[in-house]
Amino acid sequence: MSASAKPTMMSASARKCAMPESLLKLFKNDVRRVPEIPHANGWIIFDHEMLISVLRNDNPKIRNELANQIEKMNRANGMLISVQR
Amino acid sequence: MNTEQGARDPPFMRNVGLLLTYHCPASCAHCIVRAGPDRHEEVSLEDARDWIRQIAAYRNGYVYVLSLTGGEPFSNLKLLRAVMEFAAENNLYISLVTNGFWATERERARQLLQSLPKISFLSISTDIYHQKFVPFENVKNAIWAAKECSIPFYVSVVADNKGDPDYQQIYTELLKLADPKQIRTGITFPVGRAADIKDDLRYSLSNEPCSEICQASSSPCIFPDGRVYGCIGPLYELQEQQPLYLGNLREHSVAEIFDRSETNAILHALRLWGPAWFVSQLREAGMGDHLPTVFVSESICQACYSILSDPAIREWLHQLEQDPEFRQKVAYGRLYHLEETRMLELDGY
Repeated sequence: MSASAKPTMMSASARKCAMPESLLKLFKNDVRRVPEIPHANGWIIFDHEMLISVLRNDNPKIRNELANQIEKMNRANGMLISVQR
Repeated sequence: MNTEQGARDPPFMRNVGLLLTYHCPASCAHCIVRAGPDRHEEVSLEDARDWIRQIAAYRNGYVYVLSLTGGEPFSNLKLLRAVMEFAAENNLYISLVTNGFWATERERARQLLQSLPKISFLSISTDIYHQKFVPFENVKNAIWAAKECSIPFYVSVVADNKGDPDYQQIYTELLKLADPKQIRTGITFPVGRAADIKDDLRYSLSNEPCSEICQASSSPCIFPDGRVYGCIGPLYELQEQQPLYLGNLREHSVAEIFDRSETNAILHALRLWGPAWFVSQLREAGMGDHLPTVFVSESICQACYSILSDPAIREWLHQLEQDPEFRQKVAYGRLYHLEETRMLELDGY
C-alpha cells in the first residue's frame, strides 16, 4: 500500500483497543439510565423508529440516497453503528 | 428504564431543528418560547433556504432530518410549504411539531397532510395547557389523518407530575387512539411563560435530580434570528451565557457551528451521563451550595436548567471544559458508549 493510499483514520474497533485502560474500567462500571420512551417536551428525537420510517419511504430515489449515505458513513468509520442495532 | 449501553441513544446531529415561527393560535401558559397570536417573528424564506442548503451539504449529507417547530409551523402554511419543498429538494427528511389546530375536520386534515411534501414524522402536542386553545377533537382528527396518510406520529404531553389526574385522564383518552410508545410525556418546566405560573405548578419534588441521560441534546435547534442551541429545552432562555449555546448563523457557517458542537465536552457529557452526573461532580467539588435543595421529579430538563442557570456553576463548567483529562474522558466515553469517533478525531487523540 502506498503512503497516499494509507487510511488516515482508525476504525472504531482499533480506537477501542487504544483506549486508556483506566477509562475502559471506568466506562465498564458506568450506569447510564436511558429512558425507554423518550421525553417529549415538544421535540422529536431521531431514533430507530424514525430511521425505520425513513427506510420504508416509498420514494426509491430517497431510499437509494439513504443507502448511499449509510454506505458512505460505514466507509468513513462506521458512524451509523448506533442506528444499526 | 433501560440501562443497556447505547442501545437507545439517538445519534448526534442526524436530526436538526428549525424554529420556523413564534406565531401560534394558542398562547399556552407553559410555553417556553412564549409563542402566541401576537408574536409575528419568523424565519425569512431566504435565511431558511440558505441554512437548509448548508445543513444538507454538511459532511456530504450527514444530517437526515429537519424538524420544523415553532410556535405553530402550520400557522404560516405558505412558509411551511416552501421550507418543506426546499428541504425535500435537498434530500432532507421532514418532521413537524404541531398542536393540531388545523385539524378541525377529519377529511380536511387528511387533505392538508396529503397536500404537503412527504412528512416523515409528526409530533402532535396536547395537554391541559394546549386544550384551553385547541380542542381534543382536533387532536383526534390529526391522529386519524396521520394514520390515513401513513405518517408515523407521536403525541407529546406535558404534565406537572405524572400523578396529576388531568394528565392521567388525557393519557387514558390517548390510549384509545395510540400505542403507549407513541405517547411521550414531559414535565412542565418553569421557563418562558410557565415561569409566570411557577407557584401554581403541581410538581412532585425529590432530593435527587432525574438520573437519566440527556437525549434532547443530540438534536441542535436553529432559531429565526440565526442562534443555534444544543437543544430546544429551557436552556434557550439563558441566551448566550451557557455551554449549549452553539453560535449564530449570522456570524458563522453551519459547518463551523456543527463541527464545534462535536467537540463541546459539556454537551456530550450530558448525552453520556446526564445532568445528575454533573450534580454529583459539583457536590464533590464543594459547589453544593450552588445547587438547589430539591429537584422536580422525573424532569431531566429542570435538573439541567438548575445547574446551568447558576453563574458560578457555569464558570466551573467552563474551567472543566478546558481540562484535558475531562475532554479525553468524554471523547473516549463517546466511543465506548455511543460508538462515536468524531471528537477523538477532531481533538486529535
